[in-house]
Amino acid sequence: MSTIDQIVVEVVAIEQVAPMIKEFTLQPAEGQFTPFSAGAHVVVEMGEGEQRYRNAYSLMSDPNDNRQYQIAVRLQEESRGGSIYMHEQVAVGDQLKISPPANLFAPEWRAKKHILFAGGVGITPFLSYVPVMQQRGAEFELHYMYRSQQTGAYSAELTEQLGDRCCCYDADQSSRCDIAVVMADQPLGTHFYICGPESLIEAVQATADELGIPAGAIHWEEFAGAKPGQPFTVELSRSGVELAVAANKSVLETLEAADIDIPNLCRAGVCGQCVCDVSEGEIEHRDAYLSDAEKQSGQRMMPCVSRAAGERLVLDI
Amino acid sequence: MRVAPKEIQSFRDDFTYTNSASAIERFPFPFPEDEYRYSVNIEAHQPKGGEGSAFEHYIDVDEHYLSEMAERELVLKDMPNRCLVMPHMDLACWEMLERYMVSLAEDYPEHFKLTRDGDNWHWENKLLNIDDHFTFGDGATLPRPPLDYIGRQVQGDFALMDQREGNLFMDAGMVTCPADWSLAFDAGMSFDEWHGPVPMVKSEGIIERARKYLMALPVGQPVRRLNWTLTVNARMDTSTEKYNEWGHERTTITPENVSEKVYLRVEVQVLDRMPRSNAVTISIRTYLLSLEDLVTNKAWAVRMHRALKTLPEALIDYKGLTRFHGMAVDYLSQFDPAN
Amino acid sequence: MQAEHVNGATSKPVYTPVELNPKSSFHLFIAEQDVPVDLQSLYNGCTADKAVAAYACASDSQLLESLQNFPLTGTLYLAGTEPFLWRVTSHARDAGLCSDQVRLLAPISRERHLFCCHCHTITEEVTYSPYACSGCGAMLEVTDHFSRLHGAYFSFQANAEDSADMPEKREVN
Repeated sequence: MSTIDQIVVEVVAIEQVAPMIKEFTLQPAEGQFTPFSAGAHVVVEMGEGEQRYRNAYSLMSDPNDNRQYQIAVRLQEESRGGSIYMHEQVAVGDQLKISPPANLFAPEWRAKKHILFAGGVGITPFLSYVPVMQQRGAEFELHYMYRSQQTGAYSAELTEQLGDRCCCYDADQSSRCDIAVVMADQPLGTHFYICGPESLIEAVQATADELGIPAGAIHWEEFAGAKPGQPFTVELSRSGVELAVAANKSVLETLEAADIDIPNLCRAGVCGQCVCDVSEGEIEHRDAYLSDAEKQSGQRMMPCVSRAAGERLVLDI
Repeated sequence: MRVAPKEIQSFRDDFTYTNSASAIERFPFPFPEDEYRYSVNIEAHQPKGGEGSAFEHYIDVDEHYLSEMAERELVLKDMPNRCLVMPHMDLACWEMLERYMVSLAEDYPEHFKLTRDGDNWHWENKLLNIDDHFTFGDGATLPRPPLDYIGRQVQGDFALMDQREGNLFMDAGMVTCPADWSLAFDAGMSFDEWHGPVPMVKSEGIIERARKYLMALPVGQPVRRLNWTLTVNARMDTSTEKYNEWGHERTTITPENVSEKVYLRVEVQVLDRMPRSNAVTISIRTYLLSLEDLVTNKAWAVRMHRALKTLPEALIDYKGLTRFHGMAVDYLSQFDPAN
Repeated sequence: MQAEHVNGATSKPVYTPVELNPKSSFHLFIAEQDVPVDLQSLYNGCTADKAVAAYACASDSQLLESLQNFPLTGTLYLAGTEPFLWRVTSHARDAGLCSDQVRLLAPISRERHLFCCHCHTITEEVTYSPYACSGCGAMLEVTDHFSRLHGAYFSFQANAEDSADMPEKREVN
């Protein structure tokens, strides 16, 4: 299995699009970008050594425009470092490395109608959905929830462009989305997409379940990635190397910091590229990739998000 | 291209197909180790073996180009539904056409030329005397639908998979030289259903792992795997459609003719993500090499002998080798010093 | 290609016992001919909004009509022969139903539709192998490789390699 070739890009513009969100426009250092499909993301690599971070960001520009890619980065106070680096260290003219686009959140094109729920910076994948849905003449509604003191980027442009197909809810103006009202009485063939915090995903799932909407009509993408946990030790059985995994680092990041490269794409426990065999230690599974049986067997883990349940894990690397 | 296309040879009736010495040298021999193991064996589709190798370019155009294109015309004339496209795959087909034209023109400028001005494209294929102006994305401006058009100009079979509902569905393809399967029947199947008849893979979870891997395949990072079987005579179209015409040839093998009549059939399967449609294209390029040509490479002869000898019974049956497997092993054993 | 290994193909559908979807607001029960007992008992046990329909040789337009006005929160239950189950499923998917909105009862008959890979004709009411193709007349080896699109099983000429070597007749189920 191959590791992914990275693309060197130059940051050609940075714009503060909401109090906590910066938009980065990227152009290839040489050659051309490829077009991409609605919902695709790239993994951005920034910094060096101890300060090297890799985060997945949705591409939010028009998928048919291969002159440049755009991403938006929300500053996360609880950040494990990547978003702070993007906000504070990266300047116009800097070079970054990105993975080629991959898509784990494509629209279900067989749907008769698409309802998009965005929370905060979760608007980004839908910005690439909108031009393609318009081009295809697809029926869709966008429900965009944010706090204007932090997020809410592009809400004015979207409202102007989409009219009553876009509903904005600014919690800082006490405007809230009644998810049950949006989801009730939708026609057969409606599919729902959620990008936002876990609480929003759970709320839409719970509402769907209550209304009897089939689970197959619900699609989501978490933008969180790895969450911190307890520190522990990871031992690599083939080399005998021992590494300390800090509370705010994932196993994958710890391996990378030690120059051990593992194929990976989504860094969020979805794509399955970074799966590792585990020979000892209890695992706290946090991924959406392994089957329940595989999780119970305790023999494989996704190092991008999952951690040790105890103090030590031995990986067969 | 280091091997120039030669005059048309046949893959049926009188079987005039031959491999030149340089074609033998560059044959993509599929066994990396002595013992045969079924595995996902996916690697990056990047040049390997350098200039002149079968992996030098994204698409390998070799000395059999004209012969394979002529054979394809015969098959499609007889059975037009060897090329099938569901309507939602139109964009994916155009993307495949784009990918193939761009790489052919880049890698073989002496044979292919692509001139693009926005969506106005001009395509020249000097090997087949094709010279067409068309509008990219507008089927009415091409003589045939995009897959049918480009598929008749590139060696190998093609399948296009739509990605949805946590799976890949084979919703388009052009299949004129398959190793015993039928596109007309398998069309529309999920990746798992399509591989339903393959023995030994279910318990090992190989198909599921391969599917998950392919679903996460990024744009611009094609991968390849090799598959193989043995074919009697240099027959390209061993589709199940024509099994009633070629099946009997399996009974014609004798110890005397096994080396000239049995061919190692290798498929170089290249899997690639299409950027806009998010479809995955598979090209299945078939190479045929008779055992007598194969044993001119002593290392291959030894390895081929050991791989065939250790092939599990279920795979001998599945690959349809039962009637002549023993004769092939016996013939090859003389080249293996372990015997 | 040997039958014993083609059989056991993972493409052969597995039908598990069907229960009512307790979350659904509407339940539609469709039978191919007479409503079989297990579909009837599901219907009887359903206290929510419901409808039942039996189609003697339902045409595609009848099927499509019954799916008009089907709600997003509904569940469809199907009983009949295997080709019927998959034909209606295909219409239901086109109409916008998700796969988890369609529940299939085990086929009422072990008869198969057979897809002849040589002439692409579908032969109906097949219960044993080999079986003569209704299109080209070839004696077809019946496999377990199943196409949901065709609602049929894959088959190929049983004695193609050696015309004298016809496999013994066996029942398929």
